[in-house]
Amino acid sequence: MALGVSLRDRFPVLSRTVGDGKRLVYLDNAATTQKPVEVIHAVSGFYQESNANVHRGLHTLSEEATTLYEGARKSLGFWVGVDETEVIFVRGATEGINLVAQAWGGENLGRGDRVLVTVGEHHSNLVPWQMACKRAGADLILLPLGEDDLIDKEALARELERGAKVVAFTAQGNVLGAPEDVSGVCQMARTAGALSVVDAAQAAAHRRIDRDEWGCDVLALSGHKMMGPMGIGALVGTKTFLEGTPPWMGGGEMILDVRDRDADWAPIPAKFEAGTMNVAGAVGFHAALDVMRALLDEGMEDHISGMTRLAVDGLKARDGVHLLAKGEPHGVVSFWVEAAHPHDLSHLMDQEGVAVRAGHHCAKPLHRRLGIQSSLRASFYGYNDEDDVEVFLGALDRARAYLL
Amino acid sequence: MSLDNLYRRVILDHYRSPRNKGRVKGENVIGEGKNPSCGDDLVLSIRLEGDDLVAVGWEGEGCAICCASASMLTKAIEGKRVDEALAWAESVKALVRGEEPKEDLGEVEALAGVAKFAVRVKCATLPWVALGIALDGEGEATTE
Ligand SMILES: Cc1ncc(COP(=O)(O)O)c(C=O)c1O
Repeated sequence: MALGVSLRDRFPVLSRTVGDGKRLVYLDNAATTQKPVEVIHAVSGFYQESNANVHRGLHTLSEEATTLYEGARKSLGFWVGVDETEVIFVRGATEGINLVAQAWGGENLGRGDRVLVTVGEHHSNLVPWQMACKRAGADLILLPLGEDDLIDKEALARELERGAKVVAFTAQGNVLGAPEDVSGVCQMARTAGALSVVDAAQAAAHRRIDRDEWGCDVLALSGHKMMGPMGIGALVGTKTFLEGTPPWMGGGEMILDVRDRDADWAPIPAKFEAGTMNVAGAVGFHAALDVMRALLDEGMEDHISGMTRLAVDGLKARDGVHLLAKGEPHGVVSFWVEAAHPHDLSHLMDQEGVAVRAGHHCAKPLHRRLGIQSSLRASFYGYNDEDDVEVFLGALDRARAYLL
Repeated sequence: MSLDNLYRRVILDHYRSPRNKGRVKGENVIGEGKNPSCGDDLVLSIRLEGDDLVAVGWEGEGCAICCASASMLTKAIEGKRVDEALAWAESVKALVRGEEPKEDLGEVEALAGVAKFAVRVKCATLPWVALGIALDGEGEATTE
């Protein structure tokens, strides 16, 4: 599978036009990636040929569906280097983090406990902790980021010394885009006896991750940011963490035995998968991992770095354009433009077929610290190429000129 | 660009050279409006004498559509009575929803182009909703 323009015909949506016949230049990949035919066919194939509920029947379809669903779990477990029982399917990173904050936090957080997150978090790794801390009477501390946009290790060490129950942080932010030193942070957390929770939503879209290399207790990711379907993702936790955490939702499939007034929980992973799961999503996610493997083998990570650098250089060369990142972003470039509101610019650029994101990108505390309300963000993936970056920069220039 | 219908010349003109920017002297009524997800954030500053809006200013930040709408609002309602201003606000809200306004709204009719862009309707209406709240309600306006 080649990268760039020759990859595009595998992604049907990329051949459509927008506005008055403009080629779609899709640069909102950090929000969600487009889907290759392999994924689309896997999802529709499941419904056409094997649809049945899993773990619930002895008939052929149910067995097939179960095999497909568990096959997806095996594949994802293999992908991140863990045992398949350590993979819990959820809706996405958001649900995974909420599971940890509510189920683990509900049992383990108490008055005066301290939870560390960073100022660069997506709301999905901030708001669940706000809620858990409020409920428990615990304190939430927002760690600063250093000049390289990475966690300030001295501040982290100071806060850990004062005691912390959790360090929850992103492996790669969706605004600043700097790949974090995940194993370094997890090691510090472990030494201090704090639970490490990694938001891998962006990181997992750009490289293969290895849970043991990171050394985290738990990580969360979203299939839709990795070319998979929406509504499927995973929480990956160590056996110790998952076995020691009470279930989150109660219902079918998560039980061993149910009596009138109480129940026993099924072993992991079923303990955390109450109710009918997104089986078609898991099947599509499995297909996405296969595509991901092929694209990473082709050098997708470097390909994305190259486009990111080109965009950064192009933006830096323009007067009145300010980058949010101080460090070196990967895959995303967030910026603001003097005397032009991001919504106007993005709307005008859309008329040229260029899809970029305008807003706070679910990171309001970060924007507030940077002294801005909102920004523009371009984010790249394997099917983009340097020509897309040029079209983007040109469209930005014309949109600015229009508003001037 | 096919957005010319949205960014009409008069809108761009109000955006580039906003009218009545700043708080008015003797301000005795204010209306605040915020659309947190896009960052539109404005305050209408009004001096009311009896039933008359004798001075209207605005300050804040937002996209071109929101700022132009606020700027046009100040021109449109200065000197009007409260009931007239509220009737205007209703007509403008109808206009940007794509309905025929009941009265001649003058240059404000340039906002009609917004109707075709659902995501921008809230930008255009924010100042007018803030006006309604200033004159006859309480709290802070949002059109999200
Ligand atoms: C860094 C980061 N964390 C978490 C999320 C939340 O992912 P989802 O909306 O798929 O749950 C996102 C995506 O928006 C993200 O970029």
